[in-house]
Amino acid sequence: MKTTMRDTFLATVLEEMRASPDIVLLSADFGAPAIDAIRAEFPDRFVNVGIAEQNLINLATGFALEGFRVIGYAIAPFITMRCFEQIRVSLAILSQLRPMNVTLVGVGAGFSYDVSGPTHHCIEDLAVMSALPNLSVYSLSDHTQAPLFAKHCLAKPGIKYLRFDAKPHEPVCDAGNDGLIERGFRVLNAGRDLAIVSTGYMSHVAWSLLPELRAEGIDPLLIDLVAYNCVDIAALEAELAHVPRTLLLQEAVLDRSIENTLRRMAGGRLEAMGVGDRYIFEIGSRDQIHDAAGIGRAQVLDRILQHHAALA
Amino acid sequence: MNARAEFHDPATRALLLADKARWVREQTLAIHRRAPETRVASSLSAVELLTVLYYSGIARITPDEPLHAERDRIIISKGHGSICMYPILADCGYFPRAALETVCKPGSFLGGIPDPIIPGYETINGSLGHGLGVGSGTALALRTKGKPQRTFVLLGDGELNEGAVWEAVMFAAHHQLKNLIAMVDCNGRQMLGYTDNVVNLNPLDAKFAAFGWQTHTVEDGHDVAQLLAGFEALLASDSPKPKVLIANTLKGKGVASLEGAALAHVMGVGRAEIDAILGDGGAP
Repeated sequence: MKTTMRDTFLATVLEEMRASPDIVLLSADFGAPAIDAIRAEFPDRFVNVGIAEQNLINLATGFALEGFRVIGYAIAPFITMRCFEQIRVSLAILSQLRPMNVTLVGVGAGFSYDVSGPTHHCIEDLAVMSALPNLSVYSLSDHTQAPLFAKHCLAKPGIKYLRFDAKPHEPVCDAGNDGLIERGFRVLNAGRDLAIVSTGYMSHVAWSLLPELRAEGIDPLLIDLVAYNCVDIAALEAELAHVPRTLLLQEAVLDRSIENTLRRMAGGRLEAMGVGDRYIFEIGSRDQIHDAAGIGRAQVLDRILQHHAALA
Repeated sequence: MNARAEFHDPATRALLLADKARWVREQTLAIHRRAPETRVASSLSAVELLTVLYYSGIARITPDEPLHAERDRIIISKGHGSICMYPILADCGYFPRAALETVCKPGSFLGGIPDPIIPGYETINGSLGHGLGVGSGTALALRTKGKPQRTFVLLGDGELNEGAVWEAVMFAAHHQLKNLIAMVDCNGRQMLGYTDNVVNLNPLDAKFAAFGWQTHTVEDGHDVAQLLAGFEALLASDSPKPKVLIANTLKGKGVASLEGAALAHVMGVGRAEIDAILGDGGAP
């Protein structure tokens, strides 16, 4: 059946709201028929904050601090980048100290608002949102996944970003979603000649190429990656261990960090040290903060010597 | 002296609050003497306002259990200019006074910019323009749950340059968040000079009123009796509007070298000047 992620997601949210009085939905003046049903049934737990994404994030924070489970709903580039600093300060940093449950839903992944131009094309969100500690990014590929992640995100404490396509689609294929929540990805085709790791709409593209690849004698391993920055790395590595080469496909800018560039250049020979996936609240000198962050001088020396000893 | 001044007759109450504010100011300067990294000028302008909020019984506080459900929420949105909160929170019993000796020292929980690792702070501080939106969220959430607790948010006047503040101002008025009380520490100066010369906010009272807020301007934000009367007038009101107390204050209040300086925000106070002000005082 052809439908949108937001419709199957919001239908599940409505069911969850009926069962639990602690769920609120905040929208930045962005709707859907399924939203109309929610706001009619729960006028006290649906808030249209107006065209004000910065305020949406801060309001979500206030609700979350008071124990509500919050869903923030808006157009993808606006709920990520218009209010990026609010997300960083009030959600990513604060959630390290105070328990919060906030799910941000961005509709309009990649070029799904095709004719609306670059303000509505959302191609940087995966990179910028993945940069935030304490925030899980999920890039869904079809509407069958949306109800699963509605339940998962409401049940999982912390801050989540769900990236939705805006258009109605058929499911990518009939592979089902077994293990998707646990592993963060699913295998669409278990070939061994090469791997294609795709996310979002590009999983539809990868699947559509399968007949042509098979005609060329290529049976690919097709992986649909959803848990974009929080995948089960060991499980993904185990899948990819059987194939000689991997192609990443995403409807988003590629990571231009020097870490990624060096990793490509160095193959398996890169050691990288940087700030871990958390904020530093310890008070001290820069050197002491480096120690807390895992990039202290002694830690760097230790890593070099360990690496050197391993090579010797 | 009693930590709380709420049980006395009005005249005694004002004397006790003024006395307490004097102690808070001295402690703030003593902290700055030990930790010159702290933003002192903007921490001195809100001394009386916060003293009245915490010691008069205006805000319901729960120092023994800082996140107790029945506390009023107090959000210090101009967080980096709130070092005067440290002695107030210690004195009220959120943490031992001895901790005041450790500000900005390794291993302390009292940094140059306070965050909720400090008991008594609700939100992340140091980035301006977030507190009123978060406070609008807590106020609406509390109302949705049918809870009577109020949300107080301290803002700086320079902070009102941030557009997100006005998103929250409009939202709070539209939703008639009468349990939200903003407090603007109008000390007249921001980093590069006088607010009037940067982005003029006046007439601020009329602006808030035009946005649908109930306003009260305190002409002398260092007069505890005026502040107390302002809070009481706002809180006694039956109006469904959100409330704002606009306190005209002096940046660097109590320190001659700061009081007249356009760039007071980024200025420290030398040890000799603090010693002269404190005399033998300043021990926590």
